Amino acid sequence: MKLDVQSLCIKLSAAKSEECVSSEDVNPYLLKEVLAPLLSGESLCYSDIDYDMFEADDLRVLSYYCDELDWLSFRLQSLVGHIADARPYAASTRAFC
Amino acid sequence: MSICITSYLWESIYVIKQMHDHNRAESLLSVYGDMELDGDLFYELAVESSLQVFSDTRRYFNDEHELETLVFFDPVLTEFYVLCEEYEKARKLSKEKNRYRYEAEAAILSGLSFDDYSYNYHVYTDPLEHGGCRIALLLYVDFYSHYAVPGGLLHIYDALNHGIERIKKELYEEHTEFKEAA
Repeated sequence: MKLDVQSLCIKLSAAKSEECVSSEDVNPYLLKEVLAPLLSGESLCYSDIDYDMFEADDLRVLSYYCDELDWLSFRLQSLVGHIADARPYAASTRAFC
Repeated sequence: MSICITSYLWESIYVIKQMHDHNRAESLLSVYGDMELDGDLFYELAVESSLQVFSDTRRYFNDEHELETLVFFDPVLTEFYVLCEEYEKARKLSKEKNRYRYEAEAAILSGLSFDDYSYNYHVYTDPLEHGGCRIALLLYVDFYSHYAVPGGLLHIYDALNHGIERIKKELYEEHTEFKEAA
């Protein structure tokens, strides 16, 4: 399989930047103060959490949200793998001197 | 980039949250508070929390059957069933017709209803029986709902306490009415 890199770049530039998984039902505190730091590699201790800011069931919703993100991340990695394995089409004309 | 956050991590927070909602998280946080969030801690946190709900909990392992048994003792359990007997005596009721026993049974059933099949439990309600009043929870090797155990136990503890208050109130009011009539 050969890949038209130029066309791919144009399509990626044109694609809308939007939330890939809806976080509407996720508790905002857990999302911003717990999940976000963890995803950015910050360390968080059990006593750093304000346990009054969420309900126990919110953790279940957050867990489902993370599962969806994880699944999406897996699919994206798989796609990136395919693209990385593909050889690009040679350009029909020279693009530089 | 793969998100390496397992459900165990949320379950570890869930355990502390359950304890926090019943004002029982202080001692747990004094030990685990400074530790970084870690999914691998969920089992330890769940067991530690389960041991803290009732005043005396004994833990046994049967290696041959790969069975873990938690036996819960507490003055609340004993007081509740002693009061049940007093109530039945005062009202001339059988155990089966005592609604407080029925409600406690429902609370225990609800508290120990886990989304799992690898467990069992027994409730011993006779205060004079060898061992006294206690709840034995048997967890088989493929039990995976440890995170839900502390919350279930807290539910039972609260229900028994509430039952005690109500029985005492009813017995006391009956006693007062009887004295006034005399």
